[in-house]
Amino acid sequence: MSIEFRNVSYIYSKGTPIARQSLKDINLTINNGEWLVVMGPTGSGKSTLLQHLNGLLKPTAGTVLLDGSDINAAKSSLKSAREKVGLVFQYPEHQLFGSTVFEEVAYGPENFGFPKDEILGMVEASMNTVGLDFAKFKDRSPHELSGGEKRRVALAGVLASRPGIIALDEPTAGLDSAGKKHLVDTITRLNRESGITVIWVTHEITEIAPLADSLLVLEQGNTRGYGPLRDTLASPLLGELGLDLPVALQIANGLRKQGKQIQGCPVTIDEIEQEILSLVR
Amino acid sequence: MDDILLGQYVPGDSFLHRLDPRTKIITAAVLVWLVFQLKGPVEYGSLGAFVVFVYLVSGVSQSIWKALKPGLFLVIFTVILNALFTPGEVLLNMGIFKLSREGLIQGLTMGGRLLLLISLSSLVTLTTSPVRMTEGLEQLMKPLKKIGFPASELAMMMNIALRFIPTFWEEWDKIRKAQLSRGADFESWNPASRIKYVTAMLIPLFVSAFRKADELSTAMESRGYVVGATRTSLHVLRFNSRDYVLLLSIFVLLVVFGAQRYGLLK
Ligand SMILES: Nc1ncnc2c1ncn2[C@@H]1O[C@H](COP(=O)(O)OP(=O)(O)O)[C@@H](O)[C@H]1O
Ligand SMILES: [Mg+2]
Repeated sequence: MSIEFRNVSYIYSKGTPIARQSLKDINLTINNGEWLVVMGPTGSGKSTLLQHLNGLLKPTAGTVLLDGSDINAAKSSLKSAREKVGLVFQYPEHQLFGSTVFEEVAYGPENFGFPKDEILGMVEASMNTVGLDFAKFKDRSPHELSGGEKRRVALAGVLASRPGIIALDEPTAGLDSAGKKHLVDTITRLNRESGITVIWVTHEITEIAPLADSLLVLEQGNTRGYGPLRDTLASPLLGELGLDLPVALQIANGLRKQGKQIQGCPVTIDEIEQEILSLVR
Repeated sequence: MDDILLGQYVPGDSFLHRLDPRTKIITAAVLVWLVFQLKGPVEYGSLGAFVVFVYLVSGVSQSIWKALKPGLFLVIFTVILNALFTPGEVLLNMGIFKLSREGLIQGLTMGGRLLLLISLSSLVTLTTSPVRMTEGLEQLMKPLKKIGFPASELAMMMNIALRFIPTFWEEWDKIRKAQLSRGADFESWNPASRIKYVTAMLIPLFVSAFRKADELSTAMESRGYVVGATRTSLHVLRFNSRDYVLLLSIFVLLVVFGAQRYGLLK
């Protein structure tokens, strides 16, 4: 599925003394199966942007198109956007309410009106996707699980309705490195095998730089950089805004400062290794 | 939503804003007592005019409507019920309803009292920040400590509650949005789904309240908070000359009113 932002602006509390413009004239095109990374300092509008993807917020100006049609055009288009775009909020484990993992994960499909017999399969499939054994976890209370497991339950709850697009707000925040890797692997599999479109808001770019296609950099609601990931990373923009750079690129920049010749924009350890080997040779 | 976030307090620099919160609480209490002693339209009218005057000079007159609105229904209800159901000299006969002279007077009196009570107490909350208000209440309740009344603890609880209103409002908004994203339809008319949606909102909210309470108590204890210990305040409340002047005038007003009412001045 594809999503397009056309001149989207958003003002919180419009028409009051505390009005605040949080998005300014944003233009984006996210194609089917694409993986977009969104970065920006705190308060730059990343979470506000995500809430436009399924109509939680309506643009003050401009339109959001899902597969070419305006999601805010009618109640039915809004409902279908809610189903097709899965939104994983920051710390999604704080929103768990079910008395069992099954009830929690089945909530979405039930609300979207899937038939009962189909829901069972959907829950089982999405629990498998996030690495929760169905038989072992389905009857446990989500509140007694570990932090990492809770987050997987929350992710399963969003994936259960089989969205074509998944948008995640700082999904790795507060996870240990094993938990991070597990999450990145899960989303990579969904993206590569099921062709799901991914929108990933983050402060940490190293793990996903080799996987993602494009990068959007926001600052105070403005687009500061947007395009293919490597092109955007190659510009000095992220450094100027004090944002995280992939480790490989940090090494490359360090070597360049010493006058060494490094080709292109290495983002994986393998790539920088090749560059260093060719320097030594 | 913004009303809840900002509370009733309207920041400002008027005479009323600069008064000590204790002075305002005492004065309001005396005036509230006075409201119940008044008789006749002239007395009510004078106090009403005085309250409107104070609203104007305190720069909170835009908020007068906001303050009165929630109670207005009650006021109208009181006036109508009293006017129609008090026995007495009938002014207007409408079948089962009889508008009586006594009823009309009694209804208007009670309605007027309610309006005065709401506008007087709002005058205090509109011009006093919640923190200063709890400090003032704590100081006023201090004498009760001797008989075991937990004045400081009560003030601390009020402060914490006030501090967490915006936090819980944000939390509520987040949970609501997460549920909407998973297809919750809060406008549904089906009672079964409504119950499901309400529990899906309340459980995460309670879980987060307990989590926050736990974090806060750990943070307070690790910084040495002990229940019942004597603490000093960052902003010490101090009576200024304007406080003394106002308290004195209120005292004089009380004496004059009492003397007048009970015939001592004749
Ligand atoms: N519910 C809200 N009401 C008013 N202002 C908000 C709200 N949410 C966010 N903002 C403001 O909008 C701006 C962007 O916020 P946000 O999208 O959360 O940024 P980010 O996710 O990049 O940290 C910030 O200045 C923030 O203060
Ligand atoms: Mg955010």
